[in-house]
Amino acid sequence: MKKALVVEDEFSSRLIMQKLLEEHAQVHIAINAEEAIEACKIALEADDYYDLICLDIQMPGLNGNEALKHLRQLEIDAQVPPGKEARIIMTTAMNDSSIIMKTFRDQSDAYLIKPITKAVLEEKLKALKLI
Amino acid sequence: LQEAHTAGEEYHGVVIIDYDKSHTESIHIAKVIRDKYEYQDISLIAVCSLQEQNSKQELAEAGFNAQLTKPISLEGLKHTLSDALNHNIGNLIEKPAKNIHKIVQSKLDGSNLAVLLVEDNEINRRVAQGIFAQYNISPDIAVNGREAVEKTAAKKYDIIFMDCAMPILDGYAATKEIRARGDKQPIVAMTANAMSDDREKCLRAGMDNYISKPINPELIFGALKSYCKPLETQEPSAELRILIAEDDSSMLNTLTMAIHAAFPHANIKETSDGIEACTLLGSFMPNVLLTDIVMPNADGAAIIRHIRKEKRYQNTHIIVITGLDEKSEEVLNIRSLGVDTIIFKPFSLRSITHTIADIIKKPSQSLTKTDDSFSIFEPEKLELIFPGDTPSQIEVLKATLETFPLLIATCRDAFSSDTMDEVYRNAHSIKGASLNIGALRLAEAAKNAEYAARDNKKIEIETLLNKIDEELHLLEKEPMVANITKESP
Repeated sequence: MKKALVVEDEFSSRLIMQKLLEEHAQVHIAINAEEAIEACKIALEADDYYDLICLDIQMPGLNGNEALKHLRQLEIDAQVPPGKEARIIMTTAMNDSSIIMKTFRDQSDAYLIKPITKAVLEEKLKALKLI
Repeated sequence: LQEAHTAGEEYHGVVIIDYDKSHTESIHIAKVIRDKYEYQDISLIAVCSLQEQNSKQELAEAGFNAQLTKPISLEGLKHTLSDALNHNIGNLIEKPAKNIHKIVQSKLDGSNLAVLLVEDNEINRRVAQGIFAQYNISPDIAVNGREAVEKTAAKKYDIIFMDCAMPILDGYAATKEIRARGDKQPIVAMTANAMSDDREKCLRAGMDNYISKPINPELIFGALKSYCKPLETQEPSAELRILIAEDDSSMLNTLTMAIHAAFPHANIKETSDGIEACTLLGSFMPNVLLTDIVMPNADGAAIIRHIRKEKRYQNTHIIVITGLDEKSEEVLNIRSLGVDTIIFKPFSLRSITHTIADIIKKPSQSLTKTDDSFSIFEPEKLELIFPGDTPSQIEVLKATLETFPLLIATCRDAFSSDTMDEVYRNAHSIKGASLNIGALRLAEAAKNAEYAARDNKKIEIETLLNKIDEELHLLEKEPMVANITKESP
């Protein structure tokens, strides 16, 4: 079973992601970037890291892009072998391509615009070879 | 080509270019021709050697219309030439050139022109009158050469269209009489015998030009354009304001030149900076925005959002040009914002000018909707998220509805304590949550509040918060929503 982490501050979107992903993975939840970083640290230490992280861009505290950089640094520090890094999908309702492109530069793998539907999510998971 | 161009002539025809081994020089020549003369009717044929497998894509991108393979057979040459000349170029991507005049001709206003139509055949007269009517011209009529001589003596015409073969006095004789009087107004012959000696006869009689029958709008337009100079300022393209936003300066230059060539009366402004594009919008009010996606300071998406947000730009057409992939997320995003069309690089300059010409004839594709065009509740949205999974749909709908009171209260508190960041964030959450469940009017109100908070427009926020309350109230009264909240244990 794959392992996924959903990072989303807004309840409704979080619930949807959780329910959509539950079919394909064991889903953990974080409601902000700080929780997400903590969860990843624990998972890396236990050598039971996430296959997929869905990261909301706009969150209070650290935003998604800053969280993304932290998470990629954690992977480097923990010497995660190439190819074993988490696939990171940025999620946003912002529809702003400059922000999206910035996350691509910071090593995100894909992005999804909310509201996220079963069809687009699964298409993305297939593209990332997660299902 | 340069000489013809400088002399103000258009070069219609075929250019055959040896596609040499290094290719670069031939491609360069083709591109220069396409860029400089792109609005003209030129077909480019590449002559390739058999050993080389040139991709059609590569040739098409360079601007070629067709290719010939060495050794060239007479038959092959004939076919390719006839295809190129008739624009039946099916085997390559590039579309045949169109005369750009065709596009503006139908909008030409000739209501100020005094036109005399000299034609004895009633059917031909009616046909001609129908064509003139397209340009708001109602010509005076003379049914033979004698009448024409009399009418031109009594009134000064801007242009005379003269049939040649007529009873009583034919077109040639009538023209000679008119010229003999010293009248110099343009006379265009309409003749069914389009042989060169007939042309000679027309010109010797003192006519300025001739068009062959059956006449058509294009021929009439060409004559009007050639001989009625004041007409040019009446072209509607004088109203055309085009803003070009592109950060690659050579591309910007090329686009500006091509558009200027195709629309000589258009008012064109250019910028290489996204922020400047946004500020130019207000002062310039373009009918057409041609924009790249990736740009410094504010990208294409930001500019387009800005346009689609404001009612006063509802007539602005948006053409996006991009080097990004058609299926890339940036492009899908741009598409969702509401643009007229997206053109992918590499593109021919002709496709740009033709797109502009097409687009200005249509109402803008603005997606700016009024409130009423959004639904209070669209259950289909949840069906999209969880297809066929009603329990999940209901669970999410219920849970989401429960979050609104707290989100709205937090938003209000933040507004009272003047923390705009909080207002912005919570309005953003309300928007996201209501989009999830298909509460589109609520989402729209929340989106407007989100923007107002971002732009620190406090007066608007107050109104929008009330609007959010109102919309939530309406949502809760929707039968399906009301049932679900009632069922709650």
